[in-house]
Amino acid sequence: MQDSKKWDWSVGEKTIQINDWNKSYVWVEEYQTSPDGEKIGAIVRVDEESSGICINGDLFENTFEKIWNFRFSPNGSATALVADMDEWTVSVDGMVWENQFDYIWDMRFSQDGDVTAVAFQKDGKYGMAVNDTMWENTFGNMTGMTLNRSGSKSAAVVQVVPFSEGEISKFQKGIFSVCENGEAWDGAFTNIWDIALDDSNPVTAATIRTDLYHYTISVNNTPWSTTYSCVWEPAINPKTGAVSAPVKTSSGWTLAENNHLIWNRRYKQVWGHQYLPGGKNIAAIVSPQFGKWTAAVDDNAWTVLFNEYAGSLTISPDGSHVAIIGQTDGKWFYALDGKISGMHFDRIWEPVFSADSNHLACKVEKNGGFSIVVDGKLFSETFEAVWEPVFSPCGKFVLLKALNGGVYLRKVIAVDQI
Amino acid sequence: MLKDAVETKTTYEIIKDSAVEAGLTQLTPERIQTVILETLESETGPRLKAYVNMCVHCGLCSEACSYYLSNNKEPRFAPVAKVKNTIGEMIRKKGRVDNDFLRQAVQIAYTECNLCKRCVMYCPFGIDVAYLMSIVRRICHKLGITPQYIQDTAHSHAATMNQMWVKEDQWIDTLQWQEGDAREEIPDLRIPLDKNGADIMYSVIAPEPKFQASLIYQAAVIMNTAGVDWTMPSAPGWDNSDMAMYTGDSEIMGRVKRAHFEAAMRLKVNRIVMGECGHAFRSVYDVGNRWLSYKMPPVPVIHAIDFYYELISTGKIKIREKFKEPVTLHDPCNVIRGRGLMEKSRYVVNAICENLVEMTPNREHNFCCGAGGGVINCGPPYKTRRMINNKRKAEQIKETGTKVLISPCHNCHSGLEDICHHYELGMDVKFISDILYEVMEK
Ligand code: SF4
Ligand code: SF4
Repeated sequence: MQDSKKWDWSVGEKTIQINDWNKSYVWVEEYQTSPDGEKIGAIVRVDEESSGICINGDLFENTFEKIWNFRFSPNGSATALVADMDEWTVSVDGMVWENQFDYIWDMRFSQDGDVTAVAFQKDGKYGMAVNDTMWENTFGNMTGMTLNRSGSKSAAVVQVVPFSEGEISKFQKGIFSVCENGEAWDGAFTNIWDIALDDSNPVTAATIRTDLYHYTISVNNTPWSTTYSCVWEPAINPKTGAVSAPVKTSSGWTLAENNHLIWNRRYKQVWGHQYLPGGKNIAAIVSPQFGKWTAAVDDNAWTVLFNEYAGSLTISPDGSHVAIIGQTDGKWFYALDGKISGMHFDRIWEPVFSADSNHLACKVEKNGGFSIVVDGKLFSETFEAVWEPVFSPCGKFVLLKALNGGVYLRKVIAVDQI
Repeated sequence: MLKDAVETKTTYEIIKDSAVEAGLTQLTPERIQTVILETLESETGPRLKAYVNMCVHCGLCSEACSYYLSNNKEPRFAPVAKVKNTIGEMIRKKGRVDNDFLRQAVQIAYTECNLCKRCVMYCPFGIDVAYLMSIVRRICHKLGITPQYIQDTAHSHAATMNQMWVKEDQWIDTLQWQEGDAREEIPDLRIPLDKNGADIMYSVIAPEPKFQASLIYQAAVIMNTAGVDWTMPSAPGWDNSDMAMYTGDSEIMGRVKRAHFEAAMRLKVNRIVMGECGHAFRSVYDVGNRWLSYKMPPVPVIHAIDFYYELISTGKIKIREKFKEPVTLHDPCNVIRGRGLMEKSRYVVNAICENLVEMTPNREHNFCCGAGGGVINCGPPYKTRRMINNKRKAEQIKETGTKVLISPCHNCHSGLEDICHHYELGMDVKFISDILYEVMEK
């Protein structure tokens, strides 16, 4: 990961002209920016036959027949899925992997960006490739790929029993398993979804359906003994390795941990739960009454209710704050620790906390222009596009990456000046 | 004269379905009773009781149902009879019903009621027979006696989040293939994948990438010509359809709908525009969203009819030359009775065609296609019978005297093609986008 302490945090603005890219190339695709905001790049169509990646006005030497999913990884590498003659591979800063595939997709990075993983299909078989190393075993189909934060574990739901469309009894007996780092679990379930991988505990959990009607959580291939009529995605306690999941009981949705119900209230919906750092508390998105949405921390639902949607649950690094975004009557808000933002927006992106947990910022759209809101104050300028804000390590400054009139702007703003 | 539909089979019979038969062998009288009573107790409420108690057996609903009219007004096809012979008996006998009864209940609920809600409009009490048949389907799902073909579709939804076992790479590859082909026509055309913050996420149903990729091509041309800021998701959640809604597997329906909404939320779009599919709209706008506790979809969902109306009425798409041949227009239940798009569909068709010949009756009174309520998805075993049950629709279409039939819904489209073929109507069934693509300025 790029060390944000080393970034240029001096208050001010840097600009890069991108106006002429459109003149130089047949077309320019969606712009992407590096984490430190020093680079802006895009897939560009060089001529009728080939595409390339242009960064800060410079075109990478290698061009390809097809490129998609170009992004900067957390460590700032310009990464994309590229193909010539229908042979696909991964390009990292202009260098391609040795392995080639019939298709690749679902590119994921470890938190520090040092590990890049993709799903691949080669000769009709499916697997994952991690830093140019393919899983030892491949499968007839694969869904739900995931990578843990450190990049040490890659996993997916894989089909382990030969199957043809229409074979309904075979399907119900189970054809899917979890494959972790290339090794599939023994046995099979009717369905598996939402694999959760942990960094510090040897725990892998997933939602399973053991037949058409019984849902539960499987932890390291051992299902909980209790089943439910429906279960959503599990989460793993970062301290203890305990596994929890929203479960549907006859009286409504609630939360279970290690096979026991741990919340008393019943909701119309519970999902997207997360452990707070330390593992002692859990926050989730809940619907306490039909059509109303909010967050709950340890089974205490906030009183602020959104009529249409609540989501993007975000926990501050020290665990002292919880933020969500929500929509009522077509207007978007954020809510912090149960208090709704005074302002509303046309659209709002995920909340971002500063490292010291004292500040909160979001990318927003208001009246057709894009900007950021920091600690409840809307930045005075609006732009044609902005990227999600980043706080300096000390929390005193915020990095705003924006586009206006064919110019890319990298602005560092003092939080107390907004 | 219509070719006599009944020439192949005249008597009513229970059709053998291997999955239904296999499921029935697993059942005991105790299990049947437990499932029925538990479902009635925990998943239905005052609405069911009110409907069952209110019905005065007046039969006013009979003439509303195309199944009844297609079968020489045979009483068993009257909506009230379907209720009596399924959920009515289950309630009356307190769940003590046998396999022969269940065989018949499966056939009625999945293949002799298309959940079209036409009869609701004719019942003096507004009794919603489609809702009652949905409960029967839910009970059949829980008993494990769903017809094979539609059950396989529900399995596909559960495993892949799409209806047709489309693998993740096949989806993206198909979009890129269509994008490449369309560039022969519009050199800088793009199908932008995963564009965060786009105005619109365009979603389709899985038969498009599987069999009808040209529809994606046409949509891309329409979007690019209109200058729309749009995107399509590369990850599961791209399919808006939901046959689990029709099998009675509410849990999978909810999971599939959640994936669809979350794809839009992840991409931070303002709205979802969906292709010409009716049941998908019902699942997103009415049934699936509510199972998840969303009163309305959490992101506005615009059906293709509504979207074409917007593009044409605002001048974003201009018509070069109208389609000359007379056309007729089918009103898909799920977006006409379900969403009230009848005037917008006529606006669009009149804007692109010179001569729209209405079916009679039309708009919210139009007869159902006999397919899109899950009936066609029950597959080949039921096809011959489905054709008999669609005789009234065939007559209605034939009466227009046109040779082109527009159907802004996938399942209606497939069902109507079967009808046109079976009754030798010699008609070409088209989506609106087939004609729009042909006549628009590019
Ligand atoms: S919902 Fe439609 S198909 Fe079903 S009984 Fe009523 S009119 Fe007939
Ligand atoms: S019209 Fe209504 S009240 Fe009359 S028989 Fe039909 S469902 Fe019953």
